[in-house]
Amino acid sequence: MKIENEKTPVEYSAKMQELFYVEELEDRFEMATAAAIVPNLACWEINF
Amino acid sequence: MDYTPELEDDVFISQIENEPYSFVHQANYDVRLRVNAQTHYLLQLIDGEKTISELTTLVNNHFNQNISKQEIDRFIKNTLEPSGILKTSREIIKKERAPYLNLRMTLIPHSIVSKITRYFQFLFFDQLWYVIGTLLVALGVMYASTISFHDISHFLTPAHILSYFPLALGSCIAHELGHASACEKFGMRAGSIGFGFYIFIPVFYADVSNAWSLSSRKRVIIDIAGMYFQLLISCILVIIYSISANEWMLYASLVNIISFLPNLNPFVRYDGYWILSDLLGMNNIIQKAEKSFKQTLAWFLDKMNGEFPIKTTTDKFLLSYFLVNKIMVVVLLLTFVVFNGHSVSYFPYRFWNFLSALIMKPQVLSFNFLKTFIIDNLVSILFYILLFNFIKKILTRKKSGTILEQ
Repeated sequence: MKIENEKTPVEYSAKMQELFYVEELEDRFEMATAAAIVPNLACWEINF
Repeated sequence: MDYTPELEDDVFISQIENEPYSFVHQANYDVRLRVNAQTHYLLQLIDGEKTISELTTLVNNHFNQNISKQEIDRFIKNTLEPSGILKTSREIIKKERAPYLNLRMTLIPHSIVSKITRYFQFLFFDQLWYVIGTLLVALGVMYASTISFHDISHFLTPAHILSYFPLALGSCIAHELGHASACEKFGMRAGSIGFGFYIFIPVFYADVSNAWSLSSRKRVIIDIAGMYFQLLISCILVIIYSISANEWMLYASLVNIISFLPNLNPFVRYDGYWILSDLLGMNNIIQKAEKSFKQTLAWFLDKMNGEFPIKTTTDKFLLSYFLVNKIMVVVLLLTFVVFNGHSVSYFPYRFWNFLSALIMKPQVLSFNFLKTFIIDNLVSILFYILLFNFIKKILTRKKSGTILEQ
């Protein structure tokens, strides 16, 4: 999330950095690897 | 020039349970921030009536500081506005959600997830950890007493593995419903459930981004909820085996347990990653590890001038994490190629033959000709589409520097 042309990191004074803290959190997509599906795909391809 | 900043209409701010931080969610841009108490205080002051001068005075008086008006102004314009939480006339680019998930598609929208998860919320109670421990021990004893290694090799043949395919699909959906149910149980809206590709591996996913506003203990429960549901499925299969003596049920329950073990890998964004993140109380581990590596690389390329950037235990952890993470990604990539090695490596040659045939003998072009080529090379085509997307993302990745981190 950023405004266009805003590519340079913003430098703040040490006092500001000490006082304020903002961090963007990453999207939390909990995934199931479906690991069993991978060998299945291989089997499917062999058997095809 | 003095002006009056104003919060966007759909900004939701709440204190994170048991943490000195607050959670800020902007629904329109779907952006989530973690801010400290001071930033929370400033956000509460921003009401569309107070000017920058007034805000500066109030902040300085409250925290006994002498921050300049220009710095508060820059903080608002360069950090808060780009996050989408303040009204602005500037154009804000909506970020891509979960860019690490390729070819993402929604299978169950939020409205249906919300209805289904109501029926499963009772499975989360105070003694959850004891129940999980007891079930694991019971299953372990059951497998140890009924299955030998010889039996496993007999049952894990390609034909048998293929018969577990519908179970694996159902189990993955149940896994995601587990995450979503736990999230809703704790009063947070779960997003959709869907399917996509993560580092070339097919995965199901549940969007539980709102869980960031919960305590780390509750987040860990959400993290393990997927495996918990799979564990319950295995128990049901064992019970059916006990009643029917159908051995397929017993092996299916074992395959189901084995299939969720890779989820504990903390070096890629599987359950293990979120568990590690929540137990350590450290968010965005992968990005921070990448930053730590870049700083080390810059120091190294600068002929080791200046101070070595890796000073604290956290820095050492992040750098080690980055290196292992990259090795894991390469291993997963190679796994994909190994499982489909022949078709993937020979695809360019077959594609060239296909194009040559089209150019030299255009009369061969028919629906069946195209269909045969696509079906024969489905996995390879998928692989190269994902590889193309992966490289494109790396090349077009933009630098972000608008967030103020400690």
